[in-house]
Amino acid sequence: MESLNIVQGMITVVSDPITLLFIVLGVIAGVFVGALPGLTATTGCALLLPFTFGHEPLQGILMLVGVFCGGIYGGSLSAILLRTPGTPAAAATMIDGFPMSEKGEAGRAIGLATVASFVGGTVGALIMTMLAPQLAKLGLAFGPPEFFALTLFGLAMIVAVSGDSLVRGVLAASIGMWITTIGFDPIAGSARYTFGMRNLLGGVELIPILVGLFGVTQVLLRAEKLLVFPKRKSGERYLPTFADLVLTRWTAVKSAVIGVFVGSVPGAGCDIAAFAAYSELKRSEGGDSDLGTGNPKGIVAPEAANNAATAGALIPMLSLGVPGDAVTAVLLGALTIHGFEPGPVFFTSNLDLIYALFAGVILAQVVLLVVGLSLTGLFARLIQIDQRIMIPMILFLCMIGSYSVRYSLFDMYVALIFGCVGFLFEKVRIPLSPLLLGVVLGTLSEQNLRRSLIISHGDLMIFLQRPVSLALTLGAIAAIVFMLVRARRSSAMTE
Amino acid sequence: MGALLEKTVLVILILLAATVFHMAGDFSDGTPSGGHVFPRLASGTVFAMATIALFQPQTGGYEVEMTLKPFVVVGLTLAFLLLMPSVGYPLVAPLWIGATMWIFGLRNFAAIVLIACGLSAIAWILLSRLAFAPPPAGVFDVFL
Repeated sequence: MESLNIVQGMITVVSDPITLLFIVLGVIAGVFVGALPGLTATTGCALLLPFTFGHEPLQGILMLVGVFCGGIYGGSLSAILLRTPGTPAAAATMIDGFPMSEKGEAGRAIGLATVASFVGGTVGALIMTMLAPQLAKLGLAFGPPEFFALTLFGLAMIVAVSGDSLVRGVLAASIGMWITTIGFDPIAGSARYTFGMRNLLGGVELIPILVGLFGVTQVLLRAEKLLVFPKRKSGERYLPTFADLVLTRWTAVKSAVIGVFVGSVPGAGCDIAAFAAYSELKRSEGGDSDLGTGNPKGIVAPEAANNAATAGALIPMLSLGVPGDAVTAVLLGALTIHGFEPGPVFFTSNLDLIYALFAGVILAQVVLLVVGLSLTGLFARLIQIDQRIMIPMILFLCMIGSYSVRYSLFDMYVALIFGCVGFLFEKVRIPLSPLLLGVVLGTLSEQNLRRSLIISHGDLMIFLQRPVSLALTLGAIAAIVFMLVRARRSSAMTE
Repeated sequence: MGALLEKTVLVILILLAATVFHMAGDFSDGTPSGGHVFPRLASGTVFAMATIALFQPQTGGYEVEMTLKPFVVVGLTLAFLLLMPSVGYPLVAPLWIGATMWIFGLRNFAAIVLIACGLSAIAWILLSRLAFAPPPAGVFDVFL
């Protein structure tokens, strides 16, 4: 049944040239943004989100999915060519990618990364197509206590893996949640923390926050230290050899499976998926392998895993309405802005859109393969654009993108304020991803907490009396305990 | 520098959280599920975590490099936003983009003029022709 729906979704997407064009544009923009060190797939999605408003929801969402997939792949280009991972997810690719580049095999390395990204993304998308509807069916049985426990679990997982300090992760997530309380009370309808400002009645818009935290902050950080790239020779071919593909085929598939499952854990993200696959490769290759010196498998494993993780991260976002990482938080925001509420009900009420979306994710992988193999030479030159021109242009796009949300100068101020907040937080090591997830999950969390309390007449035991919410609450506690134990161990080792 | 900056940020967060927590009382409807619950939960957690972070031994145990450039960029952007309604986007936007490129170290005057004017013109055309919501034109309102 699912395969029939997917075919139908595929027909919907392929038969609409505009939707196809949006996927292609999204992938190209994503590869470009991902390849630029310092700019992540999150930044790309945040910058392009305002430009999806005037279009059909499917077109807009698929363009952002294209940016997500392209962005994760694009990070490998600068990791291989410049020894500077464009995104954190490409850090593991650099270990073997740059040594290959030094040997004069940059083209071969990029070709391998491209094919591995395609395999990983496709395997991930197929697994997502099978798993997400099942998870959504399970989610249909959820009530307010389960949803509150789920948001708590998602936040706990994200906080647990977001940085060195649990305290700072919780601090950032709580700040994000507090921001969502500005504006009308979602249940009683009274105004909170608006200080008489009309612009705050509807709350702080998500897009200016995103653009500020991930766009303006990067601009301010780059203002301190611009990156200078070495010049590279042109005219290289970016295709892997047939022997390479045969040699790495099982590594690609195994890493893709690892990637999709790691990616589907809220908070784990593409970078952890890439390192998990690389660690597994290291273990399976044994101690005497030449990993780290330009081994093709060392490129294939992280690239297959991080692209599979993009699909994995979409599973909890679409089926339960809980984003897996910062990029899926942006995608969740995009769906909400387009009038949808991701989660179990989304699957029953928007089945056509869901399967068209799944088909679009699979198509995005094909586009990625074609774009990757044909335009890599161009991207390799583009990423060396003078940063003194590129960064001010990004700042301008941030401001115009924020303005275009409601055509309001107020949103530009919000983006600037959050840019300054992000810059300061980066300086004092307060992670930004939990803050964003706090903003995205805050309203959902508050609504379900209060509904649960209304049902139970204020008795907090409601969260422990129902098996699913009990399991999720215990999962959240386990994630926090794991993080505390790990922190204690690492501090003991340092001493 | 690292310690001072970090402690300042944490103290500001503590004060802010205490204020937010106190204000949340105004949103209560007398029930345990009122509008005060979530703001108190969030601000209480911010207060507790910022206080713990303030007294953690590793707080401030690192160097923070700060240069003037980010502050100049923020100042320029703020000036752009403040001047836009009165002076107008057509003049303020190219000046702002050009000045930012100058701050970032670009000294090619022709490139600065071309990019600053071109970029702001493209954005103006897109916002006014496609979205029908151009940024404030200020004194240029009579011409555009």
